[in-house]
Amino acid sequence: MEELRIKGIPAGFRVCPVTGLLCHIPTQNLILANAVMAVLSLLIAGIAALFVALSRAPLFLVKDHATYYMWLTAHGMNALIFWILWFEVALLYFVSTVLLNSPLFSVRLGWVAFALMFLGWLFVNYSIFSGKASVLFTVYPPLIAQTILFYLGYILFAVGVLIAIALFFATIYKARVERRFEGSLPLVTFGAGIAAIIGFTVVVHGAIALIYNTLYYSGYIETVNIMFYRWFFWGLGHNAQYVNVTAMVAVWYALLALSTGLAVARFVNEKYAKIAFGLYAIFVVPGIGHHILVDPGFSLALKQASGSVGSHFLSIPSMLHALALLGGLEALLRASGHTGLFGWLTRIPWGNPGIAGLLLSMLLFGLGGIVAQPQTTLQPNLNYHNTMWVPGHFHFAVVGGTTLAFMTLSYYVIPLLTLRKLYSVSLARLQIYLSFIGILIMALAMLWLGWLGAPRRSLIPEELMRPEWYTVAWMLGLGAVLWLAGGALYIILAVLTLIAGKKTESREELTEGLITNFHVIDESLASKRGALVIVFIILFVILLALYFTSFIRMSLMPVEVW
Amino acid sequence: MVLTPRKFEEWYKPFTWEERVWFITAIVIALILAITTVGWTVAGMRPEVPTHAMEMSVDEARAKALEFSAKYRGKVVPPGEPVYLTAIRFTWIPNEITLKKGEVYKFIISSADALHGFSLIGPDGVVVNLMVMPGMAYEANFKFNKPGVYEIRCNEYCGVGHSFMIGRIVVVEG
Repeated sequence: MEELRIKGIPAGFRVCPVTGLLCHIPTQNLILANAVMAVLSLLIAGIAALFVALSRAPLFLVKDHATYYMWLTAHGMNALIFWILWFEVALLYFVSTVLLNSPLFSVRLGWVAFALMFLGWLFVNYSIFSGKASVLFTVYPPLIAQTILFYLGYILFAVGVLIAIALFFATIYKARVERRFEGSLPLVTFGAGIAAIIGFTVVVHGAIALIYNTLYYSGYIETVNIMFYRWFFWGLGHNAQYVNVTAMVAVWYALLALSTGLAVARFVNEKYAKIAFGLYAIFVVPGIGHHILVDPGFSLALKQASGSVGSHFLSIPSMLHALALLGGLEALLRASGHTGLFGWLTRIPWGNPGIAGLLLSMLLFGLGGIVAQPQTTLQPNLNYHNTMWVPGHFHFAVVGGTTLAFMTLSYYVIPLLTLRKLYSVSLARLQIYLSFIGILIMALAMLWLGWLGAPRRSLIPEELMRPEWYTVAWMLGLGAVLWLAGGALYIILAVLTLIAGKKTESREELTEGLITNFHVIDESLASKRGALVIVFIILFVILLALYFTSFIRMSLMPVEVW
Repeated sequence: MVLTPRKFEEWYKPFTWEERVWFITAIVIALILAITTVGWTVAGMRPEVPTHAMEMSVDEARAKALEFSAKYRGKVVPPGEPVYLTAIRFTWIPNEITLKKGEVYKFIISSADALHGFSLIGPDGVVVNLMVMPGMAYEANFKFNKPGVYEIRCNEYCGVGHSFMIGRIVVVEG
């Protein structure tokens, strides 16, 4: 890097005034294009969410069932597939180029991937909104969409993502060969790399499931093996969420570093974090089976091994990251003189959007992981399978965890990429807390409804509602409205920054209110014992309490099943 | 560093004691969960996920359930008699079943068209969920220890009328 500096800035690059990193301008445009599509998908998902949530809440906004399932399909596809994967492609490009002082391996190929993803996105959304594909994102055969465009779009999008993943690895390889960086990959790039490896397994499973399903749709296969489809579909459907998880954890480390002005870096144990990232890649494929726990036809041994045990082991890396991140922050605060077992907690700068977004996202994701444990266990799954408990789990994880983390990161990255000051730091702070409260209320309501047996993926008319669901459904609606208000605020803030943010190249202006400065007085004061106590209480005490409560509830039912 | 490349010896550092303790604790947590569920199965505790399933064509699933439905409409199903329950868009065949309290019934649950979900929702927080697949029949043993009305709702999306699929099991004192 020094060498490059001496030579001057290479053609096509600019130097970031804040980080001093080299940024390849054509790559930057590609990153922005992918990010814009991500936000656009989030917007569609959010509008669809409004219709879905306020129809499940006793407002019954959409009364027509066909329309409801159209909105539900639009919500699932745009939130779970498009928003997340567009953002991740942008992230993969960012961490493999800007952080490594390198251009993308081939910007032209990057635009080819973009075009494929865009076509796929267009086909799928067209099929959905023309009412021909109200089949939800799982498309379980023999349920079929009324247009081949839906299947084709799904596949095109996946191919685009696969090219993006290949570009990510090719970029790192080329940057290494051209000696654009020295030493090991940065932690964030390493984590994103694990996400890309998982993404590869996702595309392989997805190709098998989707091509099989397309053949069935076109009539080349007469009878469909649903067990086969479900196994491979969830190799796509749930493992894709581990791409989110891994990318989200990488984003957490980036947020921790950025919001503390990189002061935290020496207190994060990178080896610990990298081992934890690696464990995701090891356990993700063996853990597919938790979707088929109550399916007829699979053996109990497979269900236990893959569904229960595999999934439980998949939670280990997330638990490790919890300590690595919280402990890193604690060590920094202690080294800055804020000691005491929990004294440092009161000194956390909760007004810093990056730190607030990071810790709230971690808390929500942790809750999502905790409630997943009984649900992914063979016997308690009898209680939770396909009830509202399941969307409760993944709204905590994907909305509270991943989406909140990605939103928070964009407050840091948009100013750097556009050289425009964030329009308003206090609005960003408000957005993060509002979204946190909204999703907390909504996901808790979903869990509660699931506990009471309310089915997921159902528009239940008033006369068919069980009375005990009624009040809780209102709670769901309230939480959804608060979350969506936060989401709207996010999009407004992003757009305002893009068009009306003050143009500046001054480091102070670009990071104003986003970075908290720490003055490390004594590194020997650093310790992670407070964080250890906190993660122990949350992940040992609370998790096991919920787990055994689930077993007790199940065995007290006045119905025996075997 | 987190965001920039670092030499191997700069980041490859030993764990602190807290990190070591937590590494072991995390594995212990996963093991406790795994041992509990596997132990439950090995010890033969109930409830347990039903293990038996057989292949059954969609035509057979419909025919058996219709036959069963005609035979026991408005009557208490005698214990020992298999209970055929078939999901078909957008209803259950039969739509109402009367069973005796405290007796073991073998349910044979299948689908005559799409993928469906069997969700039993009853008094005192009873919720039992099973997947219902065309081409496969789930053989599940049920024993109802409390009289009352239990609903069977479809909880896997099967089409627009999905949420109208509500059947009933009435459990009466033996």
